[in-house]
Amino acid sequence: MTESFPFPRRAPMRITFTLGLAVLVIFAIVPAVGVLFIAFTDIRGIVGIPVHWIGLDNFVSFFSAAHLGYNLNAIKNTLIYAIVSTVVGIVLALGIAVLLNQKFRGTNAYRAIVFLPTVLGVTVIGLIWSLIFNPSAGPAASIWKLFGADSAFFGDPHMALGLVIAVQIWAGLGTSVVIFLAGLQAIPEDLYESSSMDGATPWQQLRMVTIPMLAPSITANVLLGIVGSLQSYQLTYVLTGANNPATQLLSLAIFSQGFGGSSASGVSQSQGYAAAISIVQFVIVGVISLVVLQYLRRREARL
Amino acid sequence: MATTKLRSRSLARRGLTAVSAVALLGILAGCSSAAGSSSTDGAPSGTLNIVVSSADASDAGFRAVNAAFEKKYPNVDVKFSAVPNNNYKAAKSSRLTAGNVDILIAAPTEVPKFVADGSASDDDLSTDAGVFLDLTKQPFMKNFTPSLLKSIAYKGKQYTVPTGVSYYSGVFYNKTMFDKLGLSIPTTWSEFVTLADTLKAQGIAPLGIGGKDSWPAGLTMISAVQGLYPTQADKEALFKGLWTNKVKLTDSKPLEVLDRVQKMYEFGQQNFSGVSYATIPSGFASEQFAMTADGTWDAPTIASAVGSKFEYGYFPIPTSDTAADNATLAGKVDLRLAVAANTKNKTAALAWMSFFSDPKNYATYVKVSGTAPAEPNIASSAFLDSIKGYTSTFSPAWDTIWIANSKAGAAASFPFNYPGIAPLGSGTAQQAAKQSQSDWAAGF
Amino acid sequence: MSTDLSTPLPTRRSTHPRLAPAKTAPSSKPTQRRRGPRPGRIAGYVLIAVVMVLYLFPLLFLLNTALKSNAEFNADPVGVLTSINLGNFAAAWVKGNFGAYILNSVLYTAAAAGLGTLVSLLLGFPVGRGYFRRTKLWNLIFVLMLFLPNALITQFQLVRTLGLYDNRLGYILIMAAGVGVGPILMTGFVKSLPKELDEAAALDGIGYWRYLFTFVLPLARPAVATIFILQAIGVWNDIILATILLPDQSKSPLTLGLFAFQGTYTSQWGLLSAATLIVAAPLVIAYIFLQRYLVGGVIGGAVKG
Repeated sequence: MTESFPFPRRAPMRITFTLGLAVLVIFAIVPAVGVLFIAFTDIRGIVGIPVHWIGLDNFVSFFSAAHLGYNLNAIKNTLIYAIVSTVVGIVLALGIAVLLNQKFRGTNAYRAIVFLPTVLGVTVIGLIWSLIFNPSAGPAASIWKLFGADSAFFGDPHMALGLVIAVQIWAGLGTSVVIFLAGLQAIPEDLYESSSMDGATPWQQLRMVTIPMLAPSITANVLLGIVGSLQSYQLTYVLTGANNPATQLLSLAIFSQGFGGSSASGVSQSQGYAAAISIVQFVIVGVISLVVLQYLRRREARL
Repeated sequence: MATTKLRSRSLARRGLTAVSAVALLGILAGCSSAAGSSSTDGAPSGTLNIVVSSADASDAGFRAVNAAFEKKYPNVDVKFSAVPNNNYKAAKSSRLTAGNVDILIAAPTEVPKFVADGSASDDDLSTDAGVFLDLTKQPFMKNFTPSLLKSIAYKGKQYTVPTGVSYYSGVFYNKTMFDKLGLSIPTTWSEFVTLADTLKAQGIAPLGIGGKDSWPAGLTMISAVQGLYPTQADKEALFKGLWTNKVKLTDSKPLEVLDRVQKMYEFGQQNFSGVSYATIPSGFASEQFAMTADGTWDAPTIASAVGSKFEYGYFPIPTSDTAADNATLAGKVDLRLAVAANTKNKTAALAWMSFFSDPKNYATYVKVSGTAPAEPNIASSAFLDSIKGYTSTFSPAWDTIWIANSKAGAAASFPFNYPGIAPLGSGTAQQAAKQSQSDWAAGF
Repeated sequence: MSTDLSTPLPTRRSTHPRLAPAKTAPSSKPTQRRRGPRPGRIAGYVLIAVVMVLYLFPLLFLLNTALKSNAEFNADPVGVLTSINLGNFAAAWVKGNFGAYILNSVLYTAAAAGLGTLVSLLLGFPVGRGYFRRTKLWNLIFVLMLFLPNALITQFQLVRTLGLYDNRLGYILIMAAGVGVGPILMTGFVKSLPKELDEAAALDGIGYWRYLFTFVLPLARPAVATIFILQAIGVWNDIILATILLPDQSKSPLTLGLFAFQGTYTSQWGLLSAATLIVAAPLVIAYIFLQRYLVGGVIGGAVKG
């Protein structure tokens, strides 16, 4: 449905819209479509090496008996990573946002500090947490020793994924908190006043007033969280390397297959294979995001 | 008014479609275009782009050579890029495609006939496609040790210049600590086990392994293969046997390799699976462990970490019970340099290679970088001299011979499944071998 | 923070899509927010303290490590430092050549995020207002663009074909196209701007472009700032595209310099920590100045997908 356009000429709007769209189409969408194409080839990325159209071979190879176990493991890890980091992240972010929304002294500073990791970037965060979780010489090891145990942290296959998720949550809380804070401030005071006059407890107010009114922010955070965690690999790469099966993620597999991590990563496939993994990841991310989005939108609309 | 609106909208849309189509075509066309090149004759001049993977020691070596080269040929501007190892493959392929590099690192390995298609590496395919210059007839190749050149020949030709050799089937060991405890260098596997047990009884971790990065743990596998399959012929037979499915990874000898690895893991320091390789030199220097499985490329870093705190040395891990099998260190030719065929400055590139190979300049490189020399009669560091006994014959390491099957599962990459053994993985040597055999078989 | 709510449009609340018309008139003065009876202030401060420790400790630990000499770190990696040693910072600055890289990073971030924010504005405003047909389709496209597959290889080929390889402009254009949630945030925000403003401006004879840049942009400052910052962070932290598209080291951004630094000096933790802090410092300083816009951004809570 088109709203009535109040300005005299539509041309300026169309021109600028098209220009903006052109930038996106040429530099983002066309390359993405290109990836779809090369997923059907065995391109190696180096000029001179002949390229062949191999149809679905890459996809068949991805799901072949030899690779299936490894790839399913990567998909499983990716899903756990995405779901846990998004859900736990949002719950914690909501809690912290509610906390910081109250009038404490220095809330500006607290907000700034929580947002800091987002600003620092994954290389910095990766280094910091590698230092902290150094099993022989880090503060985490010292604390662990107080409990009489010791651990290999990122080297322990049972613990590694959990730790990576924890660091991801730590790093991503800032953006979520900021978005929630903005949403919280848009909730009018009167809603709380009238509900407390009706005898609602703080907990009930949280459930009946705050969360429903925050629905759009929740949607935004869930979307950002899912997409971010499904596509990010740099943090995992810095913390546990490219070939650790315990923390193997699809996005990491794309990077290491397409661009080869260390020389000891076994066999690196063609970039066509990496593109095929990209497509599989895109489908998974797309399906999950759209399903979640539909659910959240319906909840929003129910208000 | 309505028609002008329609026209401008459809024009814009058509324009957009056209541009995107061109862009898409451009992408796909760019995949197979080749850059033209022209070579100039006469004295070298212009820009020379050298791109290598970064490491403190070798970077310094190259910089020293570049400085001397620019002094000799002032008309050449050497642009030296040391790219971090993890980014090297991406940088290399993009710069090669763009025709933006003259000298780079490449390691083509000849693929025997029994290896299936699709397992050749990018470097192999590139060499076949003529991406690198054929250097066989170049006069400067004569400077290098013939046995080394033979080991890096590709289909009978030479495409790369060996800049040095590293050995990595051994351990750095704390000599002062050994002397204090009255221990001597073990020459058989049982001696090694006894030695390690003695150290453990003293409360000292015998072996430092940087397990977090995974590949340092693989060095134990390399030394296990080196002891159990001592000669090059043995290793090549194993290679062929696996590919032709006459040898299984669960057979007794391949299983013994993993048994050795498992035993060495037991000697590893506490929680070594979480220790990153970068912390090993400082751990060794602070005597957290008595030995560490590492390669001679790390000698300069170990030297600066240890300083003069104690004396240290290097010996091969004796993974065989026959002392004679353990007498040679496994090595590989490091950092092989190739010339891009689409180089825009062939004269300068070849002049640089010639300059580098000149024993006078090569000696500078070896001295600054601390690598083992790939040319005869070059003075090497005191550390390398101390292991001369183990390196008199060049024995190529297992990972320079092995070619993995891209269609096989991940557990069969090396193919000995050292990452599958606890604490890196969650199985015993037996289970890891079974897993890798099934992954290997799945590739056929 | 409640003072950040001061907006020039007192009528904004009444057009808030979440508010049913029957609600009481919005208060003109923002009041202190409280959820019901006040929780124990002490408990609140304790919780905040816990969060602060979780966030400050890692950074302080990094600083601690950076200020130790290599010898001290080897001797006692975990403990608090006994003597301040600035040598690491000097050595890191010199070895890493961070001065030149910082300028590059600032250029790329400002240009790419600026262009990207402009694109978000140009796309988000009309779609948010519904001035185009098929609004739902455009919204869907904006969402789909969030999770496009990783297109490094094809982007490289594209840039090469356009002759923009090893060219700052090519890199900036590719990074600018990574708008992420920009258009989505903009469409959401635009809904909270009253339509009457558009109509009033049009009646006054103001054209679309003038309106967009002289009226909407200042009003949308919080949202624009948010979009800019979110994209700027992405551009600032990029490593892999810079490796592929900018082979010339003189064009490298700061993160590439840091990554290369970490690759070369892998075992010198003090040096690494110092270099990391050098990289992080400009970001932190810029952030401190810009952060007051961040919470004000996305006001109206109307962030629709």
